[in-house]
Amino acid sequence: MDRLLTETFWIASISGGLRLATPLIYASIGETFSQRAGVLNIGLEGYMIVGSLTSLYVAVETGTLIGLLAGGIAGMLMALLMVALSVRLSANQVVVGFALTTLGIGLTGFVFRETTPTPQDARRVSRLSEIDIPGLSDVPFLGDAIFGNNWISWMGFALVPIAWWCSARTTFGLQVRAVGEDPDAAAARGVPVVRVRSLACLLSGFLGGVGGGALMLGQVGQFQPFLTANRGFIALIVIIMASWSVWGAAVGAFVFGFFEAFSSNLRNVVSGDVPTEALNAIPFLVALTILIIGARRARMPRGLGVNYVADR
Amino acid sequence: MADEPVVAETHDDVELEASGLERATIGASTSILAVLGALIVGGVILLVSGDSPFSAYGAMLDGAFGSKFAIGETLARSAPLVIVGAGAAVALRAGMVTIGAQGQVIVGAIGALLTAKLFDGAPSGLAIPAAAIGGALFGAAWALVPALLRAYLGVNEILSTLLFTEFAALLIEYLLNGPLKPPAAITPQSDAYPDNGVLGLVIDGTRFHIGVLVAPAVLLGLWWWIRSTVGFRYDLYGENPRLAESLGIPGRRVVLNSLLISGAAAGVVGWIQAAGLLQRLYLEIASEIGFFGLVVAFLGAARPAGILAASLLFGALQSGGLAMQSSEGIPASLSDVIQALILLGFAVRYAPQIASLLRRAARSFRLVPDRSSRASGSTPAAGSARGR
Repeated sequence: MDRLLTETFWIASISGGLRLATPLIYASIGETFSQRAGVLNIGLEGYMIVGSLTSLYVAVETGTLIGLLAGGIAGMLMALLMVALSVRLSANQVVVGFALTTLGIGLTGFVFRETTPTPQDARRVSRLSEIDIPGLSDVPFLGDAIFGNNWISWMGFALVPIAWWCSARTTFGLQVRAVGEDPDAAAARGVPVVRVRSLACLLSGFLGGVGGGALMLGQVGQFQPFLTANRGFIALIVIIMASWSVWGAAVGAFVFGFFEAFSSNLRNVVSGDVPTEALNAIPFLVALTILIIGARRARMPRGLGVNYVADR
Repeated sequence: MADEPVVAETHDDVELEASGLERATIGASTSILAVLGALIVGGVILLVSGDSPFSAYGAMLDGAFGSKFAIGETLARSAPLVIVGAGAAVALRAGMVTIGAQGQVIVGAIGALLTAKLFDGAPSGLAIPAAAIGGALFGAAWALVPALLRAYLGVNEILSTLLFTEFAALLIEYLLNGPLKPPAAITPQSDAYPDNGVLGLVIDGTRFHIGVLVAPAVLLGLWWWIRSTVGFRYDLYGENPRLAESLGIPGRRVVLNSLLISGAAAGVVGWIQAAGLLQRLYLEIASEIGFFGLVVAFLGAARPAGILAASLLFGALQSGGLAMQSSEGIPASLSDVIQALILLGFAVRYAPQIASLLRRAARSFRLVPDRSSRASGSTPAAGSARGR
């Protein structure tokens, strides 16, 4: 157990946690906007996986930034289906969401296998280097634990206050909350309900796709079918725990990421004594716990999951 | 907002005024349209990737219906979908959306194998039903915690059952790499299923095993359920929980039992996969049955005939897709794409009906129970009427 108390163990868990949290931060922030507007994207998993494959294929031809943006645009195109079918045509949000998850996993699996006849043909990107913050990165412990991230992670962290500001201080943010709480009242006040909901849903698609891109370009660097492994659903759990707050979503994403890194580091410490599978269950047990806590205290947008249809 | 197209509502009005026969005709023709549309989009994807849609679909059709073996394969793939779909339908009708079947199939298979080992040497007449019950109980047990959490704490069952699927995947990974793994095996797997519990083949030279025949029995069960008094109570609760509770129907018990029934159904699937199809446990024993079982329940509007039709369609697409992959070299993921597109088509085609069926599930779509609207006095019915 002495090995558990080493500085390197905790540095690895915290820095790994921040890295693993990055895709969840992007995805959950976008989805927070969408859910606050009343649109539930069960298809977030689909946006993420399409974003991850697209970002890889574009990044190997161009560069990381363009790849990341392409991932976002691909996710947004998936969300466009959600907008067309659910926000506009009032098709059930959960059913369309499940379909988009399946579609995303199926499409990416198809494209990956068609373009990868042999394992040698698999496209790869190399790991991004960390960006040092002068001064801070040299602080003992914290420097390595918190300030050694690649730029995709830094951008994700920077997005949190920006998203909070947009949500709390702009007209768009206010409209988003209004159409999610009470679309009828919002419409009566002249808020274009369907347009605001569509924009928020597209934002979720874009940031979900960027999140998939962050997973690909910032972490794994190589595609495999079902790469996202339910991270889209984890983002949905994080949002409940956060009670639809942007800051809370970022914290929740870090909590899950931390325990993912923690359990994988623990593997080296207790190797042989505890089955690996039990350690791998830790982050999901944490997710279950935060889901339960979230359900106890959550205050959800009142119009969530209910399509808006204008009065005849 | 006057310029918003409200196709769904128009559709709804048409169907409300239509007679039964007209409604069936509308239903059948729009379903066929949805399937055709999905196949056309799939064809475009094939064209873009440089494959011939005709040879691809030809290979699919051949792999789904072209021979005795192919038909057996389609049936063997449809049966689990029917059973999981029927279980999911019971939950859907009570207003619950569970995607935990995946994990419940895995745990049901483990339960069936363990029970069968316990009854090793007993007469088959005893060992087979025992394993079936073992599978069902294990499946239901895997649904118990999410069901309790939903009934007593209002924890969203979509997400909790998803997490339990993760746990089930880790559990079988552990068992098949350790305690259940035969010493000689290289890849993760269990011992062969005990002979006295094996479900034999109905037709030799195919994988059409006796377990497939459980599917029609389960459908009959669902048919009976929908018409029974208990089933009616559960429907009523799904349709309007407040009314149901004011009539003395205990909501918590409905939530709990409907999720346990769906878990048991998935557990039975674990049993037929372990005892019939594979006769051994593998990591991939549930493949994607749990997920597509729910999809089939959506497509079939939680009714027996609809579930049967949707399961046969998806079973054919899956067995055809794999055959296409081996003969034409086109990835079987295309089947997933087509199935997803069909569901999208149905989501629109069914927008009014699915919404009315799942209006019951409105509370589930909401990730947690809606305390605020209750507090402010607006009824759930008024809220969900907007969702049609």
